Order: sequence, then structure tokens, then C-alpha cells
Amino acid sequence: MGIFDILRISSSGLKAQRTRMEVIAGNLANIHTTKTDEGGPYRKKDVVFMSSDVSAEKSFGGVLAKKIEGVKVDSVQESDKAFEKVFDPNHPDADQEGYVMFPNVNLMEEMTDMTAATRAYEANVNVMNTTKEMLIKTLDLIK
Amino acid sequence: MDMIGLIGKALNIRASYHKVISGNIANVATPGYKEKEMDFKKEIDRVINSDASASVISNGVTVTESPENDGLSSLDGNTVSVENQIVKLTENQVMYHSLVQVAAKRFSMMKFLISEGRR
Amino acid sequence: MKVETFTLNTFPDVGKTKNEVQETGKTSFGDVLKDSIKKVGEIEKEADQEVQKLATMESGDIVNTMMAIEKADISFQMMMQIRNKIISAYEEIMRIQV
Repeated sequence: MGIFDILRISSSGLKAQRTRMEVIAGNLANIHTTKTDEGGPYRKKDVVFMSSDVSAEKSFGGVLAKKIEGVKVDSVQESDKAFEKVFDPNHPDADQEGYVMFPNVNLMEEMTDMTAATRAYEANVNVMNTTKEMLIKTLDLIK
Repeated sequence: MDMIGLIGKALNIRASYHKVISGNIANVATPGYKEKEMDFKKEIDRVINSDASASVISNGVTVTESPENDGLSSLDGNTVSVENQIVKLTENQVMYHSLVQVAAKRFSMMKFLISEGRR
Repeated sequence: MKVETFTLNTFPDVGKTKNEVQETGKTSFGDVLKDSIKKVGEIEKEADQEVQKLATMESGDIVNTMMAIEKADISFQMMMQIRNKIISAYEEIMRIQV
């Protein structure tokens, strides 16, 4: 594993958390969206993370029993949670009984998710900074 | 093989690489900007045996557009992956520091030799 | 790569010189110097190879390169000091009035 692969692992974490933030932002922006292209209200989206090999060179398997891997976004999936039903007969999207279907996005959940993504992002940045300091300190060997 | 000369050439190429990377980072929000890259190994192989001067070396680098490989496309056509650029920047910076430190060490050893070790 | 501790045992001929100098004269000084210079030269060549690998990015391993360079530096400095001591010992001996 090359010495700079540490940085690639952290940067994969940064990328993954950034994608997560994008999805959260989309969910929050559409929290009251009752009409989409496919018909029906907006469905909350979730990211699915998967560990992935980020080395620059191909490592030949047998050296490490458990390879150290970074992360990548495997897919963005729509949640199957039920929509919120609100009684509002005057709403333009109300059905025959006067109910409107609102997105299954929960504000509190999304805010918590956002905090978690932010903290994870900061942690990855910390790892990168620490690693950079370590590498530069190595140069002190020949001062 | 002349070490000081080789280090000088490598430093020149790293300086050019730095320009490419910082150009990418500066344009991280520019619509339609395509990320640019430079193949370091190829460039150093090119100059390792040539006697070109510093400016010829640093201006003669080949800059290409990076292929899209992330699947994270942007709405405005921008292909800069800022995390990758930060990694490349850090790597380039650390290697630059190392080469400068090694060259400084060489020079101080030569000075030591000149003074015959008597301080 | 091991970083050996450098003691006088690295240059075993130095100890011998002090006893032989009265019998053989200048020759042993030259032999000692040549031997130590050769050893240091090999260590320096190793350090040069590591530096070349670093500059051309064949190996991104900074740690090995730094160790090799420092090893070469220390052994070089040690050799210089030994050379200085040998030369001043030689000069002192030559000053002896016969």
C-alpha cells in the first residue's frame, strides 16, 4: 500500500459524505413537493455506502488478509416509507376524499443525518491534515 | 547520475504540476470547466536525459483533460473532483518538500567536505 | 533496512593502525583510509539510488529514502573525523625528532 493511499482513503470519505449532503439537500428542498415527474409526491432518497479499494497501484491480494479500503456511494435509493396523508380539500393536489399526499421526508431525521455527515466530513479532513503533518515531519530525519 | 541536476528537474516539473492542480481547484465552480491533469512519470522520463534549461522543462509539460471516472456528474458540466485534487496537491507538496530537503542535505554535506570537517 | 549503530568496530583497521605504525610507517594509514572510503562510497551509492527513485517517483516511500540519506551522512561524517584524527596523529608522529 503506497504511502499516499491514506490520503486517497480519506478523500473517498469526503466524496461519499459530500454525496450524502447533496441527497439530504435534495430531500429538504423537496420536503413539501406534492408533484413530481412520475406523478405523486417526492420520495425521500437515501445513499447506500459501500467499501471500495482506492489504491493507486493494483495490490496483489495475498499480502494483506484484510485489505484496507475506502468508501464509495453504491447507489441512491428511494425510501419505501409511507407518504404523509394530510386532510386539505382546498389543496390543488387533493384527491376525491380531500387528502393530500406529502413526501415521506422527516425534517428532524434529515437534520440529524446532516449533522452526522458534517461530523464524518470533518473527521476525514482531520485524518488528511494529520497524515500530511506526519509526512512532512518525516523530512526532519535529515535536517 | 547527477543528483542535484535530477532533483532540480524534478522540482521544476512538480512546480508545473502544482500550477495544473491549483488551476483545477480555482475552477471548481466554473460551469463547463473540464478537469486537467499531467502525467508526472511521463514528464520526468522525458527530461531525465535532456539538458534543457529550467524554463523549457517547466513550459514543455503536456496537459490533458482527465477522463470522467466518478459517475458523479455535475449539472453545469464541471468535471473537477475537488477531493482528488486535494489529494494530488498534498502528495505534490510533500514530495516537493522532500526533494528540497534532500538537495539541502547534499549541499550541507558538500560544505562539510569543503571545510574538511573542522568546524 | 537496518540503521546500524556506528562504533569504531565498523572500521576495524583503525585499532590495528596504532600498533603497526612504528613498524610499517605510512602504508597502514593509506590502507585504513582506502578501506573506510570504499565502505562509505557504497553507502553513498545506496543513498543516491534511493534519491533517484524518489525524484522519478518510482517509489513514493519517503521514509526509506530519508533513512538511507541520513545513514550515508553519518558514515561520511564519521569517516571524515577518523581521517582528520589519522592525519593529525601522522603529523604528530612525523614531528618526533629522531
